Amino acid sequence: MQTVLFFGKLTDVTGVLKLSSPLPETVATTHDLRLWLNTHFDTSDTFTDPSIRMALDGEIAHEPANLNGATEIALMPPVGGG
Amino acid sequence: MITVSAAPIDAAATLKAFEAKNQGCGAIVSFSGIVRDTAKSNTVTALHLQAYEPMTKTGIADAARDAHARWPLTGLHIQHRIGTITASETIVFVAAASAHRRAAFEAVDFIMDYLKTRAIFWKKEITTDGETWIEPRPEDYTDSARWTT
Repeated sequence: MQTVLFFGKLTDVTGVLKLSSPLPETVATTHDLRLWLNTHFDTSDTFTDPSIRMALDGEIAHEPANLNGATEIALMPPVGGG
Repeated sequence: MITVSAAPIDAAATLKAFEAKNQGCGAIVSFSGIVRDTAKSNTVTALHLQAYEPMTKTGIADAARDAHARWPLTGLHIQHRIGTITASETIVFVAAASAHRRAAFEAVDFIMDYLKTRAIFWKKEITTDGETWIEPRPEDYTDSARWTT
């Protein structure tokens, strides 16, 4: 099963750090996932904002990309600095 | 050594251990970042930091390698807190050792600029008026850009 993680301001939208339900099989690419998350969390464009980067198994995705069975998918807003 | 942890930072003890490890090196510079108790218009009670392991630590390790390539360092220590850090607590500690002071000063400055702008942290300011996610200030980017030439 794929784990989808949320960071920073995205957690205010999702209310969770990790998606609790499995992704539908129709979600095959990073773009599919962004659109699906917008619908799932009832937001018009939070997840399609290009400033939100995605990492697949710890590597920044060069989008659009196939999810290709990545086990951990992270949705990363711009970093805030330490 | 690189540590990203919710555990409190004892800067004095860490510096002492670093000095012992780098005995006779010539120069040691250290920096402690302390959570300010004031923001623009209100009182900050705490910061909340999220990291994404292992990407956060891998990124810091790349910056450390870069520092070693730029300056002749004999030691480099980077310690950053995550989780909730209350005002007046130490959030970051960086120390560099080298034969001469300039390299040690610059390496610490370089690592701090990395941590402030590019390190994978998300930071929320918790004030008496509420909570806000914050992003680097324009000055942080200007500072960081000094090292790109």
